[in-house]
Amino acid sequence: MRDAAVSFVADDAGMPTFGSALASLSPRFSVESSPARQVKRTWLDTDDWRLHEAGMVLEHTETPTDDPRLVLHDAQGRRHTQPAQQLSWPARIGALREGPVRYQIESVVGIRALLPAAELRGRQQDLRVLNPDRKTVVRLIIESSVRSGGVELPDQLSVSAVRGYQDQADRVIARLSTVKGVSASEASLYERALAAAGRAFGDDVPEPVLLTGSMPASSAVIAVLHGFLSTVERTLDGVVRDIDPEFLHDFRVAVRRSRSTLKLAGDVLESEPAEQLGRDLMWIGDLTSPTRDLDVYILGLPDMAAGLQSAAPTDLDPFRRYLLAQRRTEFRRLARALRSARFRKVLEHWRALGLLAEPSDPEHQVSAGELAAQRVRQAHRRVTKRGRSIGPDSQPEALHDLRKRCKELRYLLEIFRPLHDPATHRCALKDVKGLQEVLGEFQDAEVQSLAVREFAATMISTRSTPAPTVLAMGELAAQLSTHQRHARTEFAASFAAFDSADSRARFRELASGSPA
Amino acid sequence: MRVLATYNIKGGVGKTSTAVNLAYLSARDGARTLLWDLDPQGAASFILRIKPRVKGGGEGLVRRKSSLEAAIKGTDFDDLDLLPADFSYRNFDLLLDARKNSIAVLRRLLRPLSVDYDTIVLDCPPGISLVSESVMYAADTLLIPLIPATLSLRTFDQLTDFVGGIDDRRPSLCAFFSMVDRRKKLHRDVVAAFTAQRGDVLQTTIPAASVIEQMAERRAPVPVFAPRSTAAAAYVSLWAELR
Repeated sequence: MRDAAVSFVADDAGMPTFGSALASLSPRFSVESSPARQVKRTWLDTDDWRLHEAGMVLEHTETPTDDPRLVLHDAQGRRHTQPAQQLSWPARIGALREGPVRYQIESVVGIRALLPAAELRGRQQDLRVLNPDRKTVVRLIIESSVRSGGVELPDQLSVSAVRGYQDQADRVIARLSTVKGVSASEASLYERALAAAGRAFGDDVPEPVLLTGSMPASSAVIAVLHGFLSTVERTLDGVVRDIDPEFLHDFRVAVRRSRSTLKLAGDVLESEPAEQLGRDLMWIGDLTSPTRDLDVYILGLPDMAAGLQSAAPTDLDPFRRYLLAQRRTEFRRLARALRSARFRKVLEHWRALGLLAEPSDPEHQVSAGELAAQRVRQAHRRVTKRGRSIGPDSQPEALHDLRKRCKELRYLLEIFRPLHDPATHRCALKDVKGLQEVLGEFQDAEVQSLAVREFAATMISTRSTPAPTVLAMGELAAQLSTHQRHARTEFAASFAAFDSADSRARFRELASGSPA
Repeated sequence: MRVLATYNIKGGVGKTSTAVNLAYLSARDGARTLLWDLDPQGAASFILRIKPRVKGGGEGLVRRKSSLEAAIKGTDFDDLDLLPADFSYRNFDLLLDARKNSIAVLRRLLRPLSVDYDTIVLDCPPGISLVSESVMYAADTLLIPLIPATLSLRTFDQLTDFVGGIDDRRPSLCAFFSMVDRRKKLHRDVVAAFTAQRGDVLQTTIPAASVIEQMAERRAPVPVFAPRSTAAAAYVSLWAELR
């Protein structure tokens, strides 16, 4: 509704007001002001900055007199607001009232929680610049005594044109630009509040691991494992506080990839510390599986319920409550383990890996480039050999095994990405992902179908489950079996694409060891 | 996007004051709101301190020579914009009549605004004309202020019949009593009898109050300059019924 604001800041943090700046607007314009009020502004985003990536800025404002509000500026600069109750952060989208802000952000935020990215407290005064007809043509906001992250920010004056009066706003901006002691600011107040808190957009996204083809293979493997450790450490708090399911997902992916790294390339490290870490990672993986599996069922339930043919989606409500209760139990167990001394010790051991597992004479080892080429070649050969042996009558186990080999190949590609030619790497990864998707759908449908049957058996034996719920669960299991059959029919074409001459040439290039 | 229109065949029944106050309340709720002052007299534009002038006039808008978006002006209130009146709107009937499928022209003009606005309020001139038919076709809800008099109720019946005869896209009708003077027995009796008889009459009544007349002098919606008045409370209640 309004054009983007232009901001001016006082050159000295202690400068009391913008009085002279406002006086410069007369006699052409007059200024009317409302009383200043205390305000607390909290900017929100997801842990992975989804709103920022989508060009959105979301803010929660609180004042002593008015109800709290959520204010969103979307990617087109449009402003949306809605009343917001006293919310505590982090909050998932369901905690927000229905309203225009929620409608705009829910598809962007998805299952992620909203977290405070930056916060400030200070005094805010709204002013209106009136033209000779006493029509408001420009809105001004003065923010003073602003503190963020313990730092006092310079006073700020922001100027926004009322729609249809941009020419008059330009005149106001031109006048203000000539006032001494006041400078136009490139950074928004949000950016300055972030900086005051020692943060910046995207700062939580992990740094890429730096690998070179000539470095010793052991150093490369340790660097990769430390990269995954930093993801585990970064997501740990979100997992333990159960902020949203993506923290656990990212945590598990890092653990699983670390295990695969050890399995596929750990032989270049000292064996005892590497084997110990492998056992520790298996323990963590097993620890997190039940909660994550339940997350997958709970998150997928609305879609599955929507696909029911004869049963009503509400028939599955007891099943959903059962899953939520199971998850609460499993999560308590997980959180306890992640707070334990044993887990802390695993992290210490993982951190010390550079000292413990680096071979005494790394110079005489193969290089990272040679290791990458060799392991990608082996993994690709395994996938090709197993895939070619699968026919229409092969047992499901053969496809499950192929899925595991595919995952290994994908992990190797991702681990050694910095050593590959970007274009070849991108296409090769796409080849693997295409096959993996079909195999994943095949196995997930089988596992979930079996799990639904087991859940139904447990629910019937331990509590009085209504018959419509059991029938609806039966329909779910049937739906999953249909998905599995569909994936099975897609396998041949998907593998043929992976095994095409173009794809094989790409993998030959990656396995040739020529550095990017 | 929801389109509301204040309409009555009769003039002077409180259409503009209702349109301005409800549009303001919609914006106060956080809905991005546009009020289109379709009345060439430009009373809503005057109240909101915006010159009743549109570049290219009604013809420019209808022929799409000038953009509707470019004609929109921000008001003094957050989230409330106005598409001003223009004196050329007095010929709107003729302009619409010259277009193909003339009844759908307004609806087509409004469609692109759904990206920018959650609520659009149309303040219509009185009378039954091609403009009012286009408004009926464009609106989701037709808000009909009734003054408590037998003749105006008869007009409402005529309007109900007329809307009932529209084939494909019929707005819902919401009538309410406006300019009600509780000191007059006739007003009290008519409101009570009619509200009891008809299911399509809202419970809220808008009083005949001097603060409503003061809108043109104060150039603002009633809840802005007289937030504790009976009239402000009545508009809040009316908006709550419609919301």
